[in-house]
Amino acid sequence: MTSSERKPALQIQNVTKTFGRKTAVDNVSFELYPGEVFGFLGPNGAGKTTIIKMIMGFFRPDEGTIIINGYNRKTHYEAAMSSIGGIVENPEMYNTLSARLNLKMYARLHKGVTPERINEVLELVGLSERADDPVKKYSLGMKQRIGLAQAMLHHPNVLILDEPTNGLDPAGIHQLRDILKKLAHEEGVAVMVSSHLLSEMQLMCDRIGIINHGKLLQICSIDDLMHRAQTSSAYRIKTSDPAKAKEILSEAYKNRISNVGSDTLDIEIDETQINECVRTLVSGGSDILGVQKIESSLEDVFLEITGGGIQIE
Amino acid sequence: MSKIFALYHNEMTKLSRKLSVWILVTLMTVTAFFAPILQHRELSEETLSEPYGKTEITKARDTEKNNLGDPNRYVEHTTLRFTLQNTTAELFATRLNLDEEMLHSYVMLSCYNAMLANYDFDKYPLKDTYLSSYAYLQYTTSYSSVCRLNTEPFGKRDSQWFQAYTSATESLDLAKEALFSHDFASLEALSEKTDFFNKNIVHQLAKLDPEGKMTIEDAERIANAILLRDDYMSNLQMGVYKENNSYRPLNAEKRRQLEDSIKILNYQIENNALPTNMTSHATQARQFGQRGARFLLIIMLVIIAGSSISQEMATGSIKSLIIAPVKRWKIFTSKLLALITWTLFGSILITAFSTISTGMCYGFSSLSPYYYCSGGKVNVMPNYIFTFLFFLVDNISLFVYLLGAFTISCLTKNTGIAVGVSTGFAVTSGLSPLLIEIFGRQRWIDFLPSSHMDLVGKIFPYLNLCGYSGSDESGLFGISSNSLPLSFSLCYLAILAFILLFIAYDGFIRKDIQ
Repeated sequence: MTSSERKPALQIQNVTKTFGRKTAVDNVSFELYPGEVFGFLGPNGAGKTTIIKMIMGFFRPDEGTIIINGYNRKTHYEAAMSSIGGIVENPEMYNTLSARLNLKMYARLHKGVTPERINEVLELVGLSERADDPVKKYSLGMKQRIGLAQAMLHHPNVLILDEPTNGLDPAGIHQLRDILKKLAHEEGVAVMVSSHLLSEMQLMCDRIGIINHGKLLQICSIDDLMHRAQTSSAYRIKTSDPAKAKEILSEAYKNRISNVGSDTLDIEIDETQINECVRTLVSGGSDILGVQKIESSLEDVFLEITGGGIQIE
Repeated sequence: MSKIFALYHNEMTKLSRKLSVWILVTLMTVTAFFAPILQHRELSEETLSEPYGKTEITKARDTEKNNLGDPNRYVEHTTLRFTLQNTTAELFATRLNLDEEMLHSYVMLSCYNAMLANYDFDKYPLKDTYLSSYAYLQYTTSYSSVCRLNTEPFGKRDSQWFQAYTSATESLDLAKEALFSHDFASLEALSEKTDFFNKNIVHQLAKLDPEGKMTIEDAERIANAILLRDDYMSNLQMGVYKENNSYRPLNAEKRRQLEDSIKILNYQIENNALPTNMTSHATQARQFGQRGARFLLIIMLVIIAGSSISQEMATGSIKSLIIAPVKRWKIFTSKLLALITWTLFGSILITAFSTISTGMCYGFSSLSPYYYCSGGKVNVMPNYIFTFLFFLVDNISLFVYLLGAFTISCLTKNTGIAVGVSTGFAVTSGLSPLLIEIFGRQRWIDFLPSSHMDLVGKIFPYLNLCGYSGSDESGLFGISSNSLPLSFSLCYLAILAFILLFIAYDGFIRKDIQ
């Protein structure tokens, strides 16, 4: 089944939000489908949290429409919000109350959440034993877990998690990944996860939206991205005189030579062109000490999409 | 509706788990319960008195006899009169040769002897009835005057002396008549002569109590009520009323209040319905407890209302409300409803505990009913209904305090500012009279919130006629009232509440939550 045949669980249409003079989110549109994990990727300050806060009702968009499960959030607020769950920034609870009571209070605001369901989600996030402790005694990781439990409590079919791996230990991250994948792929929940960590996205997401400076730059499947990383190939030629080599190659491979080092230069060519390239060099009188394929990583692709120069943590 | 109820349920859960709230509730309850008891102990120590009967008089007579030493010096009252009429009075003064102290003992000894010989102690207890004790006081005073005048050497007695002597003996006669025969006519004549007691008052008392058995306490209360009524009547005639120790011209509302006050006083005097000392003490003890606890309640309300929104913003717990499928106005409303519930809860606690402890100390029947005029007729509202209405009215101003703190909390999203500003507002709620004292009567003072916060004094203007104390009598614990009409104060508070609500609503509902 392709995306176009399915009904989107969440539609963001031409949403814009400005704070004073700064445009935090600029005409962003995307859709989120049941059964997928959608990664929202961008550097710090890119506008990820602003979009999530607009979806979750913290901010009103200046322009644009948010439709959740077919309900326009503006006109049918409660119907739209009843099937969405999430964590915005850090999950914050009533610190002096126990996790169980926090969940119980949250459950009162939704229809049909039973005490058994509360136990079930506590079990799922591994907090059953500490459920009656006040939340203020929890570590950040535990708070993240209880936040997830709250987000899942009412069986939402859209789950939005803002940097959910913050504070989790590696085992916790692994567990979270499994839970989210299971929710999406087995229960058909539309999951959206924001992060500035590409590696995390790679392991968790089916599709990725890349955002920078408030603009959604690209949406692609993780497979596409991987493919792009693999297909875009370059080779590093080791030679005693890279300047001379560049001169020899510049005519035939104009604009494809980069990173001229002390004894290397990089050239963007594919496998079929290696022979030709080497021949040109040799015939031009340059020595060749070695030829090595440069593996392009996802990060390179990401930097390329976001325009580079952005620090990725 | 179910969402609002669920949110309200959550708010109540949160508030009921706050330690600070329970500490203040405990303090409030303890104050409401124990303040009347403390007040009672203080008052009961003050009002302790022994009956004054035959045994005490005999004992006092013997003491004076010992003081005097030689029993021959003692002369019966009748002897004195006898000698006087036969112009042998000089014998009394010269023969006895008394110094100041001995003269006093002599006078008292003579009075006691006369009492023991002629007074019917069983029929008229001396110390407890106003007629007897007043007559007795006049008797000793005029007896003393006669004796003192008698010590004057015969050669120095001029016409002035003679006048004084005649007057003193006349007073003595009247006092004797009043004391031994319980004769009201003599007492009235004596009042006119000595100017010690207002003649109108004696007349009124005689009418109310022909047997002369009324206690001093009751008589004094009636006397005070009569004086107050006369004062009101003269104010009405002059077209002024008294406020903060100065006179101001009457307006229609004040005129009606003065007229009604006079009616109520007349009703109370004629029906022996004036608040008794017991009633006043009970009412004031309860008022003391209520007002002290109410202050703590205001502090509690200001803290919980001031932190209601801002603390959730600061800790981020507001997030779990925002991501829930509820509209923001429902969150706003539920928070306000929870705060109102705590206000009512606090007020009920205060009213119940102060009433119970007052009832335990003074008896439940001692709490004064409320007197008011309607259609020119004086009506009596039983205390339990009045207590309930008082409680409701008191909650209006509490609601304004609460709304003030809530609004600042919504607006600044800062608990410290919200609690600080509102506490300042609550503490200075009695500021208006002070401002009037400093700046004189200025129009702008009428537009300060503090001029309108005490609605109780305006809705129940006759509290002072029912045993309650006003703010001038007991500071923070009294009920203050000013000349601003009730309708103005109500409109003012309604507009203030509306503005505060609008600002709070706008601050919470329309604005983004960061």
